[in-house]
Amino acid sequence: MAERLTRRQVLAGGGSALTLTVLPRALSAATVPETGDLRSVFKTHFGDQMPTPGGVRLDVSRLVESGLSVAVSVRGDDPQDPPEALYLFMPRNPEPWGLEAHFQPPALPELATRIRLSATQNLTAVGRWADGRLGLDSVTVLVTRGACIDENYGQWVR
Amino acid sequence: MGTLSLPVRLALPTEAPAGSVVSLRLLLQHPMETGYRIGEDGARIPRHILTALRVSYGGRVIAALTLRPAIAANPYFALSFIAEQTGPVTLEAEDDRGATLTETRTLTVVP
Amino acid sequence: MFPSTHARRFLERCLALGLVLFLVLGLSLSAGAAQSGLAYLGEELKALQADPFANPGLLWVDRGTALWQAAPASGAPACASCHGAPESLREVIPTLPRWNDATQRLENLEGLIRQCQSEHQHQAPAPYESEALLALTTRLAHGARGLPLSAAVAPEAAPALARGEAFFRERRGQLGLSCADCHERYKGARLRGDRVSEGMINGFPIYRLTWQTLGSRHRMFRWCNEAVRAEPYPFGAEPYLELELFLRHRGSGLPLETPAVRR
Repeated sequence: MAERLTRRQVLAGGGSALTLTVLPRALSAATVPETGDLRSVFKTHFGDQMPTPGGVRLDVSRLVESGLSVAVSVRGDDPQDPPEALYLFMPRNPEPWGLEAHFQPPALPELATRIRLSATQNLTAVGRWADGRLGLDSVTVLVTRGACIDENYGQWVR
Repeated sequence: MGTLSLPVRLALPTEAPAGSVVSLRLLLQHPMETGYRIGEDGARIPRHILTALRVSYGGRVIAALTLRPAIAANPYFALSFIAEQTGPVTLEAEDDRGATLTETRTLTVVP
Repeated sequence: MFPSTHARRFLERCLALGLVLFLVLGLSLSAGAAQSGLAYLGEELKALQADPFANPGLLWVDRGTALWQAAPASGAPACASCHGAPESLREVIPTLPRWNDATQRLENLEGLIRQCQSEHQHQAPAPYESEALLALTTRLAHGARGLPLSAAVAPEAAPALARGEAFFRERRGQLGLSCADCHERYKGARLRGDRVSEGMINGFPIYRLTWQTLGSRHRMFRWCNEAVRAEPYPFGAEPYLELELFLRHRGSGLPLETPAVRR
């Protein structure tokens, strides 16, 4: 029997729902403190060309209770104009570059996974097209308990 | 068939209509040790992560992922592709200590 | 002007009923029904626990299924040969730990598996917290999921139950905190960015994000003891078996959720 999962279900982690909470107006992006500069990371990966907003879609909860396991999904926005590669950056993690994925037909330029975020930050997805275009989508994720930094407490007791 | 030094859960349909979207989901058991955690002796636990994931179909690699410590422990991935021809779908993964995974399933594409 | 006897008797009955209802309602509200750690999880982690594919604890369930079928090197039977499917033991799981009349001691799931391995399978028992033991306990508890923790405590185990409760209420460690201080008095409160649960054990073994892996009840007790800077007891130690007995009784009625996902 063919598995009849919708693409949305697949991207949301096999049936688990992604909760997109709405922030109250007081917590708009303008009041979130500076969350890390990706320019140097972009230069390493893409050279002098900087990605501009658009072309990819990043789905992630805006408020997560544990940075140790955060569900994310990334995909190209336009099925008629698919990117050939997707990247995921977390600027405030100890290592901002988290994932790189290259796709060839018949694979679709989309993936879902679970990542670690060390602190509140602008999680950023970048798409690269065959003709060299770069597009990005960014979501400010509020992280209640960070990975990498907060998890050393008592974790070594087995 | 294949070597399974890395335990994995793999969800892939056995059959799909031609032109339909096939979802491939996997869950791998791997500590994805970042290298930032501190162990019992006060020293950092050395890095131990999966570094690459590849899906092959129709005789070539259709998705190739480079993984970094930001990927969560015991990672989950969901990928999609269009069903074109009947044939093997192969998943390969490796980590930074030489452990590998090769898992092949057959996808039957019906008209 | 008194009401007629008939009316007065009716009135008395109404009052009696009202009093009974009031007491029942009042007592049940003040007692507070036990809540699983699931109630203290955010939506995303609740969804991860419920996910029949992506719950990371299921990796250990899979491994447990394989181990259950595998015959040991000694040539002795596999677990499946004697017991059938892991689900055939589902009625036993919610009653553990329990009193063993023959040995005059408490026994929990890990202890029973290890005993079976050495006595009936003639092999070295899987070490505490090893991948093999975790896989087997997770598989068995997963096969019993949905069944409520049992409140049954044998009369001979009453002293052990009392010692378990005493452990739960005793202050320990450099921080001088008891289990009850956090898990009763401050349940639902925030501990830095975390929410304090009631310390129920119906989800174990759990996939705990803090550990980035699966862990047992005794690993949780050891972590908690270390967290208040108290020396942890070894896995399988008598104080932890007694605590486990008390916690099973305290959380009786809560359904097994193995493998639960927790922070």
